Amino acid sequence: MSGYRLDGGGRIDRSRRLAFRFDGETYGGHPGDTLASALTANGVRLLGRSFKYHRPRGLLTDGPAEPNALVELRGGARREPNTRATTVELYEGLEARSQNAWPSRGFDIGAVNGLLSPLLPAGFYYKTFMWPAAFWERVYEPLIRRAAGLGRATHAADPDTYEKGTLHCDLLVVGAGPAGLIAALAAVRAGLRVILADDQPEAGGRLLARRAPLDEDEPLIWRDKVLAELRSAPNVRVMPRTTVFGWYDGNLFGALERVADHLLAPPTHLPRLIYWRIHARRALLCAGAEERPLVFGGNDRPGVMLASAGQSLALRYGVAPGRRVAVFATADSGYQVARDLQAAGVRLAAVIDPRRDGEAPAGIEAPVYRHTVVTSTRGGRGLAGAQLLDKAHGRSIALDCDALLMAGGWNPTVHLTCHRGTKPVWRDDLAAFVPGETGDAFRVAGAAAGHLSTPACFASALEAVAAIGTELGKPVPQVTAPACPEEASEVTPLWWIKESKGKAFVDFQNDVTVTDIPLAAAEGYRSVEMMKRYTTLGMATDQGKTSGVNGLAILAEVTGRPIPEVGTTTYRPGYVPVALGALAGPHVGPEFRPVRRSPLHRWMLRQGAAMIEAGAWMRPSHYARGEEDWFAAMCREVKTVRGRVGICDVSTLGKIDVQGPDAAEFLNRVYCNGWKTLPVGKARYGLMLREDGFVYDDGTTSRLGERHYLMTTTTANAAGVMAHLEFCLQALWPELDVQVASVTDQWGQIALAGPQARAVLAKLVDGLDVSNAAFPFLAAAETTVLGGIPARVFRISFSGELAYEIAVPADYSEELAEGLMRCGAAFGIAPYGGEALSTMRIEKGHPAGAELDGRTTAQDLGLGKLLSSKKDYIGRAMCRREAFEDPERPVLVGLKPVAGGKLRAGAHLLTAGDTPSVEADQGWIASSCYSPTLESYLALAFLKRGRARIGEELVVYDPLREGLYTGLVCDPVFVDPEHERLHA
Amino acid sequence: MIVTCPFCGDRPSEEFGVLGDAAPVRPADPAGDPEAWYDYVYLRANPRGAHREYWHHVGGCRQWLVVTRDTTTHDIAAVEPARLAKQTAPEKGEP
Amino acid sequence: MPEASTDPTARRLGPLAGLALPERHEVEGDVGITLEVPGPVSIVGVEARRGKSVTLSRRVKKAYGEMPKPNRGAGETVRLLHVAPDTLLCLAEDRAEGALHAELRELLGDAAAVVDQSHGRTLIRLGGPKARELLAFGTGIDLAPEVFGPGACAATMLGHVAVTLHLRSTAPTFDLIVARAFAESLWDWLKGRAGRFGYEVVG
Ligand SMILES: [Zn+2]
Repeated sequence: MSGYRLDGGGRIDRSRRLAFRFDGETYGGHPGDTLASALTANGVRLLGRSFKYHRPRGLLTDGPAEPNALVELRGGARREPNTRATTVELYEGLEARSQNAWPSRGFDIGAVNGLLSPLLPAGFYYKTFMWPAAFWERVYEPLIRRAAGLGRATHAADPDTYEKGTLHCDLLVVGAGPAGLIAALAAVRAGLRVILADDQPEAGGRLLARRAPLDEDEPLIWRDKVLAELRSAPNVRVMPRTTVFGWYDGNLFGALERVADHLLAPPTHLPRLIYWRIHARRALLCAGAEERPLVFGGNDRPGVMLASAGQSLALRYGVAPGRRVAVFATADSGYQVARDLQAAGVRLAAVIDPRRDGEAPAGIEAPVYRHTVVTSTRGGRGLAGAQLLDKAHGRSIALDCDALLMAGGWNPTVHLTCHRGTKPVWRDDLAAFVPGETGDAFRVAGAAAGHLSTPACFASALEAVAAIGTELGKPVPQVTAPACPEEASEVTPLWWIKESKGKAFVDFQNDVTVTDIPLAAAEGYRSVEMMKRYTTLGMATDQGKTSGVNGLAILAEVTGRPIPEVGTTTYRPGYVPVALGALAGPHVGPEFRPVRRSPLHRWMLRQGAAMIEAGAWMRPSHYARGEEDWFAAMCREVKTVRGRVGICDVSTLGKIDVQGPDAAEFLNRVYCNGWKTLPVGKARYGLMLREDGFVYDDGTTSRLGERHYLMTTTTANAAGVMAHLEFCLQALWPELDVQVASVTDQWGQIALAGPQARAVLAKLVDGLDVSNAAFPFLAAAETTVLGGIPARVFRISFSGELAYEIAVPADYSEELAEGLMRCGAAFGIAPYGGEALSTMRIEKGHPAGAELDGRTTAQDLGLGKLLSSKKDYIGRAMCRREAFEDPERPVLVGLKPVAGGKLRAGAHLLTAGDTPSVEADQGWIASSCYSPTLESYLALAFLKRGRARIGEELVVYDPLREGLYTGLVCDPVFVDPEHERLHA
Repeated sequence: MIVTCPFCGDRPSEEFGVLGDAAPVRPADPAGDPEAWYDYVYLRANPRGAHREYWHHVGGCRQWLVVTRDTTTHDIAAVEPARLAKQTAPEKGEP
Repeated sequence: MPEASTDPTARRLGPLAGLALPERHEVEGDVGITLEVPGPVSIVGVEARRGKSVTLSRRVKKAYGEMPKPNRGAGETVRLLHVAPDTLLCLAEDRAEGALHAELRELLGDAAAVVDQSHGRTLIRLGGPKARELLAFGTGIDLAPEVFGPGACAATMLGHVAVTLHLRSTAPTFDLIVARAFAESLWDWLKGRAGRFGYEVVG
């Protein structure tokens, strides 16, 4: 069967033919078609099977509300399930498959569910799959998912790119139908910055599918004039294929622009989708209204669709919805559809109208049955006829028709207005919900506000824009709406044809029938939210756009309450499904987040560094030589530093320039130890607490001048410490005259460590006396190196060796590294990475990230002697709390295995002989390493009464990994406990 | 959401970090009433309606701000520099 | 033993050295974006000491002709960007290494903290008719000409990276000043989006 394409009309380009495939068959269509219209033109009406009963289904709507015509679009890594065929623009090479049908659309095994339907009532999930509980995961859920699942997502990585962006405007107009177009036009003339967003590829809204003239001419002539003026204006951005899907705090709107979904694949330079965040001073919703289906027996048979969908097929796409088309209308708009179809060359079978009063409108060239309803339909995979009941005469009429268009009234598209909690308001005269009070920032006009006739649409849009212009100080000039004939727009709701025979569907996507609702109510689910969850009405991809109001109206009727009392379910963003890729935007793979690179990054790579992430930074873990793995490289690097000399990039440490007359006082207040006695040219270890007394951060701070200090922080806390210092200066002590500036990036810094460090440094510096006497431990100097490169030299050590840190302006970092390698060549210098550094700091008992975990105190770390009692500082009042001084608190100790074994961080410590339990727990291992120096595993641990237990043997309890073994408690400083090397 | 920074003007809320309640005042005496310190460090009001909060324009001018925000609507009634809560002595101009 | 003394400036290596190489990538025969990394730029941060903002303004005005208003830039050979209260980011493209820092310390030393950031900040120049469209993918601030016109500057976020933007001319030409460690990420981000509009990297 083929040949539903009408001879003329429609917004399609008949001069070009596009080939596409559906369920493996090849078909043809035209640019301008949707997948749904092209399939209908080819006589394909059965588009899929329903979710629960596997009933044959065709298209119901002409847009994003579509519950039935869901397809898997594209293939391979681009396969996307649950795509609405009514919103898919046809392109050459399109491939789609129907869903929920196995083995095929035409012969579907699951349709047996239809025969079993008495077993699948409302709440069937909850009732059927209850026992035994163990069956749920293993048996029931996989079974249900395979039989009922809505399409299959691909498991392949998404090959497309996505983007996010931000736009600003005075006025966002949502929807480019008649109301949106005239609103944008008026606002643009007033000089407002306007965004006009519309989900369709071309503007016009329902003007694209109707014949009623504007200014006594075809409606699109008026549209084209408006668009031409908008295009020539500099202050408007017209965004087709853009769905505004959410309204958020501060009048922020989320919008999805489909840049490349109408193409076979996105061009290489373009993202597939853009998620726009639109900051709008004012917004105007002109999203129109969705038509409502009617609930009667067999209303889901392919060929039964909304009147507006049939009208779109004929007038926008040039496709006859059927060869004999009947219209079932409880709203006057149905007659307009009938006349439009007739004029487009579609053969009308009848108009059926349950209303008894008044005259049937003129100009319908087919029988008009008043006071008549459709009770059932017939046909196999498509509609063949309908059974009518003439209620005036009590007679039954058999009507032959292959399409039945339902005009059940209109639901204003209120969804966006509800996203911030506003409830829609019921209007009896429209038999519909209209938007509630949303304030001046977000207004509603046109059919979305309940103005169903075109003149009223125009008038409401102009009125809204005039008010907005006044509020924003841009008076809106007089704009004349195009002349248009008055239209009858009465609706007499009929929620449910009680004389129906067979299943009458309320929610097509979830297969909820009219009998499910009284059942749910009878079982106690009388609240609309409960009814939704129990019956699943309004769930899934269409979120009840076509079913919601019918469902709650029926619930109101069966529970004997007025509709406003039943209320609606909550509409949340987004209005349409939004691909997760669009929400993630570009932040995947290498762009997951921006990377910070040390000025030595490329130099380190050339030295063979294996780079790892450390927060946003990339840092070297080790420099493998030849066949070395990380462990061998780490061991060699540690031995090099302890035996000779090595260099390590420490540029990532936070560096903060602190200066001003009150700088010393400031340091005194942010560190727990004292700073007033630190002379110029000296560095000091500083410990920072939080106000609750726990340790926050540590580092060395050097005094570069009378009123000038350089603070260093840990790499991890650099940004936080900077913000903390700014808080202290701005909010706590604005009286202090201190200026702080991050200079982390200004300086490339290298640690030079090992017994030969001084010899190497002496060759590097231009004139600085680096002898132990002239430049002792904790000395700091500003000087030059390598023939005039400005430098700062600090004698500080993290490894425990004789060590220096040399900082140069970052552009000289590679010069410095090369210079150090040259100066150290004779001594066997080598670069070392984070693994070696971490091993050496454990050997030396320096607390780091794992020990400064936000739960440890200065006392726990053996740094209690730093806590000054002579001054106020952050954490002072809290750091001497009773619990902090409790001798039972676990404190830092060293731990060595007694008879070998890997000590691992996370293991717990037990007194020998105790049974493992929370009560018996004595502490835990915070950090551990293999020490190439001591040829043993070592650990830093927190142990109750730890310092009194040095020499005690404990059980190390690590059941998930190594089981039980014995550890010896020792001083945390394993290497050079007298610190002779530091001072050498 | 747009936040109007008193220095930078209208900025998206993503540029700001939020610390929380701006009401607690740090006690002057570190050896003073432990209850006062306990309140300062731990106790935070969680009002319905207007709430003064410390925000940091960390992605902009790096100023700490006191933002008066309605906790039910997120509407912002006022944004002030935190510095102004405690004003420094007037400047002695140079000749 | 020190190395032979030569002008160290020649040995500088910026974060985009070897990355910002001249190239042209057209889309439909056009480029909408130009990118340039000017040679070493002197960049100095200035923050007034407490109570010295009037002094700072007066001396800046005397030396450079104008103290820019908040969120504005001013000056020719030395550009002053007023990026935060009592805080300026100062740029010069023709000064020898360290000269701008020394000049500002001399001028403001007792009235402001003057911190050299010439190596810590990287300047990327973004131009072309599509520059605003590109930036809209990375920043949430409003860059419309009537809001962000020539001379405007802003400390903001671009693609999750803190940058200072300065609109130098109506062309438009934006100067993007970014922390050195993020320069390569920002460069990749800019080029990644510039491909949509066509771009040219100016040598
Ligand atoms: Zn700000």
